[in-house]
Amino acid sequence: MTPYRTRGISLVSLATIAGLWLTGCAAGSDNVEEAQPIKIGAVSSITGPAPFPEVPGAAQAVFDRVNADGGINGRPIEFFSEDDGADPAQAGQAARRLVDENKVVAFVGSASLVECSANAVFYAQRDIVSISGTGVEPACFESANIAPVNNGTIQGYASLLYYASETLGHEKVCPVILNSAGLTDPYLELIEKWEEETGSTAAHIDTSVVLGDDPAPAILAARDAGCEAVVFNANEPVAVAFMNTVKQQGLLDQMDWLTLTSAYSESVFEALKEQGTLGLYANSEFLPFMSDDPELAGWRTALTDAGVPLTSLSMGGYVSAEILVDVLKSIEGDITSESVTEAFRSLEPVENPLMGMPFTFGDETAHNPNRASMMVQAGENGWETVSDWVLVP
Amino acid sequence: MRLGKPTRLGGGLFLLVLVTLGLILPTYWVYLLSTVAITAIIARSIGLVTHQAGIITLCQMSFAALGGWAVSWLDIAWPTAPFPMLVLIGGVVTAPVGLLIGIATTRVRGVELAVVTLGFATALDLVLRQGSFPGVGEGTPVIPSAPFDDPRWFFALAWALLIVLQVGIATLSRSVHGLGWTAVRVSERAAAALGVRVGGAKSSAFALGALFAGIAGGLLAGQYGLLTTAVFTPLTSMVHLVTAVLCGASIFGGAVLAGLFVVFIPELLRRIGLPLDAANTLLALGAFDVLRRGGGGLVEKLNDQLQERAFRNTRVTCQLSPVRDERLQADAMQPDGAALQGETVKHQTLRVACLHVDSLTVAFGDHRVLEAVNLTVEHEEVHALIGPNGAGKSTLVDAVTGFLPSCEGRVSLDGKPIERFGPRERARLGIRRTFQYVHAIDAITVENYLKLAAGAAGAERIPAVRELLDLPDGGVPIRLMDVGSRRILEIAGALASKPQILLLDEPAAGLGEAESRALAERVRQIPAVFGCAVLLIEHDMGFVRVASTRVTVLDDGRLLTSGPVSEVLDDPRVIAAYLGQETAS
Amino acid sequence: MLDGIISGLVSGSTYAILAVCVVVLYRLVGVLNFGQAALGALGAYVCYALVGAEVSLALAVFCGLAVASVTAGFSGWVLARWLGEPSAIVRSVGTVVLLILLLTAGFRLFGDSPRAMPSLVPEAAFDLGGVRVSLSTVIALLVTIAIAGALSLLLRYTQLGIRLEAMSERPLTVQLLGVNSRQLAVAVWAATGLLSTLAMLLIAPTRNPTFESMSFLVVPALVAGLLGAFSNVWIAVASGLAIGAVEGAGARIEGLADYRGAIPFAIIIVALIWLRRREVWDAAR
Repeated sequence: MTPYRTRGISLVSLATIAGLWLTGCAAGSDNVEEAQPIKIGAVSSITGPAPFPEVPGAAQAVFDRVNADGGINGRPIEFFSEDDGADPAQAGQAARRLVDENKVVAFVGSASLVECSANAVFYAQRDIVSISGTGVEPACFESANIAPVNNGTIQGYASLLYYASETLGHEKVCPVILNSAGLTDPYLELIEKWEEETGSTAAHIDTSVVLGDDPAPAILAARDAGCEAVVFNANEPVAVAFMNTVKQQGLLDQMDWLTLTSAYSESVFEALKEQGTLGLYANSEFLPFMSDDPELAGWRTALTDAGVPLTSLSMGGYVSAEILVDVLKSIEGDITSESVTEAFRSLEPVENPLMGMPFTFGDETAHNPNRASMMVQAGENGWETVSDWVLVP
Repeated sequence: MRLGKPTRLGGGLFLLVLVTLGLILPTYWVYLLSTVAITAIIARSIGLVTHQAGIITLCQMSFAALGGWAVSWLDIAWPTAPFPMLVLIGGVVTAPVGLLIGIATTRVRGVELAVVTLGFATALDLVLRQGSFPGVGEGTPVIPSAPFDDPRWFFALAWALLIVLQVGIATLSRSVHGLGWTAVRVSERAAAALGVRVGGAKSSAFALGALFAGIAGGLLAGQYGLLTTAVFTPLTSMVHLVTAVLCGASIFGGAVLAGLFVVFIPELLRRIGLPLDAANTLLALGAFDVLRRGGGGLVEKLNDQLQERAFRNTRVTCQLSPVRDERLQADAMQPDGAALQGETVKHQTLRVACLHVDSLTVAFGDHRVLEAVNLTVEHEEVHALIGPNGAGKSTLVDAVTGFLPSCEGRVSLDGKPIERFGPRERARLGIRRTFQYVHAIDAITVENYLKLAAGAAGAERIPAVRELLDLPDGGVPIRLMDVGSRRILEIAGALASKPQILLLDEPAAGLGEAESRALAERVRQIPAVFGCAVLLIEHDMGFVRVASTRVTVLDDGRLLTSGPVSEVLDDPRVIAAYLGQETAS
Repeated sequence: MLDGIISGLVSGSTYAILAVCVVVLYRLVGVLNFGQAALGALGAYVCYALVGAEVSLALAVFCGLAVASVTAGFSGWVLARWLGEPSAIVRSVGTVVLLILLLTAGFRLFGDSPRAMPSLVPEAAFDLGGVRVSLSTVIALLVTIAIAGALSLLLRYTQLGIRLEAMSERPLTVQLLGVNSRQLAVAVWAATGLLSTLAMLLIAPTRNPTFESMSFLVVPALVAGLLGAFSNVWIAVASGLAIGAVEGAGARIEGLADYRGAIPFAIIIVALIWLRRREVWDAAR
């Protein structure tokens, strides 16, 4: 090495120190003195391939309302909603920043493609609780510190199977599993459990198509197996494409088609109607947001006031925030991350009108507190509620 | 590795800063700096594969995924193992995958190789999506063994690995093998002519790149606990590539800057309230700007500027002095020359020509470029090969050095047939060449170029070559030299390898008249000083007259005549052929 | 099996058209465009966004094609303007930059909300020897062959084609001869943008892909192009169709079905080892 190399290295070191000092200063200037707000965080995918801005948006709407009503025992809630851009590195960075710099006491209303797996270990190390608004990955349902308020794909899928066999009374139910990111095995386990519990047998289980590929092979296989109901796991765009292929194969009216809650949206309905494939069933993980149930009034007002879109997903953010507010109100003494975690650990089941079963937390090593769905069906005038709560045992 | 006093000072300062930061910063910043180190390892692996070996890699994060997978699996299978060892094993098991891809694609280069790497990235992404990373399904995270579960120890581990890997790669980059990467990047043809194993260089670059990335992946497993494919998508590989291009990650500072950018640009965007997707946009636009300007990434450019300043007052050209006392020259060369003299005498008694080409025919499609050409170059002679443009001179050089896929006829070196050998083997046997278009590798120094060209065998000859051709100081980067000097350096490199025959393709192109004449004098001395024959292609008849003893003339792919210089050059047929219509009219 | 092969041909046609675009762009402009499919995705998504906004399908398609062409042409201009001189490798890194920018913009503009992706081809199908063949498969094949045929005729027999070919070999010389190579480059880029959009409009109704998955359809297309060494349009077309067919057939084979997305990579490795079994050196001198 020659001297100019050395200077390069020294320059980098100096730049590092300077950068840290500058940004560090900005970080240090948070003033904790004034109103002593209770700090809550969220890490969500707000930019990137599948953005969910309305979930933390709904949580913010709840906190705005609570703050307007005087806060928690006079203390306002300060909500830090961070973006992870669907990048695990950013998710990890954001959560650590919220805990170490912003000193949040809990996470609420997160909805991210990557956040749970990136941060589950970190939450466990710091023993901090995250009540996710929308748990997307399997890791969201496998941590002692994360409790999503939504069903998740696995439990949602289960509710569809139970509905098809128990309520609709079909004998030949065919699960179609569109493969994505290591979820096939949990689905297969779930199907086994469903077969045991209900005494039914899946007429055909199809795992040949990858989510996002042409679904025709799976649909044709279901036809050949003589299925009466096909339960498939699709995200929003795939649900639309899947139904289009169903129609092309002339099978729309020959069997019932059921899919996950992602399809339960205004835009999917429009697309289904456009391509003439109404009749699709989907599960709603909360009280169906398009129904006129009076229980929805509070949610609707809060979100409309805050300018957050009224979607099924946004209910997750809303419900998780409401639960947290209840828990915060119940805490006597200091509100710290320890006391919040402790409060959740010793929590009595909490009823929420938007959920089909009470929210629990407790000491378990994994949480999936919401295993109830209502079924909706795409009819001429929009999604119609067609069932009461379907509970997955 | 020679460490000068200032380097030790700089390195020590850097370490001191790191240790201080690791001890005093809040854990969040320690975490961020750990991420910087991990990203820098990935950036450095891209620097190696893309900047040094010239292969666009779009799959570095896929290698990281393999390392991460291995560490996740090992952590469950072998929970008592120390974490650093798992990380190293993760890297070691990833390296063979890189090696395999490298071997399978030996004959693929440039943008085509980029397509292969992208294909690998998407295929692996898909395969990984079918199952999950070990432990994710059961929610069993990778927890680094104590003390590395503490962020500060993890920080120490990440930086220690980065520094160890950097020291290793910097040392290797200065070895003959490592210099081969740079040679392959500039031109595979020229690299083979220097005796570099082209496939081997590319494979080893891939394998080491995979090793680095695998280690980074293992560290990521420890950092996140649970890995998903989202960490390692092809898109992430692309973002890392453009960041490496932007920063110039072939240098340690560039790799660290890449890490700083990837971590602190989003951090900055957060603090000023801009959306995060602006980060990728900024990095991509920055990389485009670097590409537009040319001349490497930010730190590489800085390094270049510092280099230029350092050599401002140093001679960076070959100053061939026109007049020289030949006896003095011969005296200076006496020991070497005398030693070689004995060998030559032996050859002469055997009466075998140095290079013998017998009825060589080369056809491109229907067009015969060379037809039944015979050529004999004796030991100890400078033999000129002349002829008008398109006569097939360079094709003949290609055929003799083994660069043509197919040709008929026989080529023997010192009586041994060599048709079945490839260019690299022929170079090793002692056939060396230079190119019309200068291929001297501008990213390295004079000393390293000579080391690469000479190989293991010729190191002791380097001083003699330097003396003869008036090369600048060994530390001078080749990119500071002018074209003519680089041309002379190429000849010097070829000579340093102790060749039996040296094929010079238009060595005087781009030289001034005085320089050209001086070079001709040096070429004439080559057989006597180095005991090596020379086949010289040159248009400048003055050069030919000074340098060579015999001449062969090619015209339209056929042998026109051959003989002593003075006879042949005055032959009317040669004049006619050479000057073409000019003489005819 | 045959069912699978036939159903794979729609995807195959898309790969083939994209591969033709990649090959033509590489031959004429010397750029290997990693953003080729992303340009098509942009056009297709503009089209479907307009359909969602109640614009008629014909007008929406027109706008989609126009947006893609203009974006592609502009990208071509930027690359020719600033990266005209450097090597093919540098220019290709430039297209990686283009891909990243297009993906970021695509995520921004279109998110992941579902869109009706109406087919340009009326839905019909007929039986052919016991295999159900949909009209869209037939149309897709015809479009592919028509595009490849027209382009290869254009390249071989017209003045423009010869000029274009010359341009890729000696851009500077051609410029000195008075041909505006930058203008031609922009034209070629714009044309490939248009054709890529067409390819996406063919595949989108059956797959309803996201912007991201559409953009990465460039991988099988690049593989197909590579099999034809980025110079032979017809080999690229055949390879594209073959990759689609093999993927379709693979879907019906137990054990392989889950991994058939990796098929293009397997094909390319095997093919390259075979095609390059003899040593060939890089550009002479």
